[in-house]
Amino acid sequence: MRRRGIRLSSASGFSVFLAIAVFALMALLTVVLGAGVYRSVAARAENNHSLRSAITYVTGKLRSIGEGGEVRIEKTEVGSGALVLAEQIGDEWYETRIYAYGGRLYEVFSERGMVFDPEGGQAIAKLDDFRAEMAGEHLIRLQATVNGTEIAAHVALPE
Amino acid sequence: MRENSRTRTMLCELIIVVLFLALSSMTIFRLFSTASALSRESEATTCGTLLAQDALERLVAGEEVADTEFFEHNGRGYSVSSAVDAERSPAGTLYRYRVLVAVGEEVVASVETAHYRPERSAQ
Repeated sequence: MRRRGIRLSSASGFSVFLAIAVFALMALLTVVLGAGVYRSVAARAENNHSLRSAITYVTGKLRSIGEGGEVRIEKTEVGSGALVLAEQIGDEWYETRIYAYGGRLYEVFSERGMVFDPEGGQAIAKLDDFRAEMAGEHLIRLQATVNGTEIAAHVALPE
Repeated sequence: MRENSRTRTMLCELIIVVLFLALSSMTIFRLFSTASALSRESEATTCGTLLAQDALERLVAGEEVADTEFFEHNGRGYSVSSAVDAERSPAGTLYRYRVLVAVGEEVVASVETAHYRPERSAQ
C-alpha cells in the first residue's frame, strides 16, 4: 500500500515537472520566434524606408530644377557619384550637392565655388552607398545601397 | 489520499494552463506569420513601384525599353512589362505608357502616364 502511494506520488511529480517543462519550452519558443520575426520585419521595413525615401527625395530634387538649372555628376573626396544641382538665384549661382558619406545620404547647399566639406551637409537617410551617373542625354541613373540591398532607378530630365 | 488529490488538482490546473498557453501561442504565431507576410508584401510593392517608375522614366526619356524585363531583388524575381501607344496628330505625338510589375503571376505595381512630344522633337 505504501509502495503504491510512493509510486503514484513520483508519477504525479514527473507529470507536474513535464507540464512545467512544456510550459517553459512553449514560452521560450514564443519569445525566440517572436524576436526573430520582429527583427526581420523591422530590418525589412527600415531597408524599404531608407531606399524609398532616398530615391524619392533625389528624384524630387531633380524634378524641382527649373529652367536654366544645371545637373552634373561630380567626383568628390567622398566618392565618384555625387549629384550636383546648380541654380541661379539673382546674380549668384548656388549648388546643391547630394552624396553618401559615413553611412548616410547627405545634402549640402552652398554658393558656387565654396570649399566642399562632406561633414557640413544635412543627413537625409541611412544609406551605405549612393551613386549617380548619366545614362543618356536626358537620363540620370541613381543607385542606392542599404545593408547590402541595392536598387537602381532612372530619372528623366526635362528636355 | 488527501495528498494525492491535491497533486491531481494541481496537475489538472497545470494542464489547463499549458493548453491555454498553447492556444495563446498559436494566435501569436499566426500574428507573427501575418506580420512577416505583410512585410514581404510591402517590400515587393516598394520594389515593384520603384521598378515601374524606373521603366516609365526611361520610356519618357526616349530610351529603348524591352516589352518585358526581368529583375531579381532579395531573392524574388520581378517581371516588368511595358506597353506604349502613340496617338499622332499634325502638331505632335501623344505617347501613353503603361507599366506592369509582377512577381510570378501576381501584379504588385501598375502605373501609367502620358507624354506629349511636339512635332519638332517627335520621332
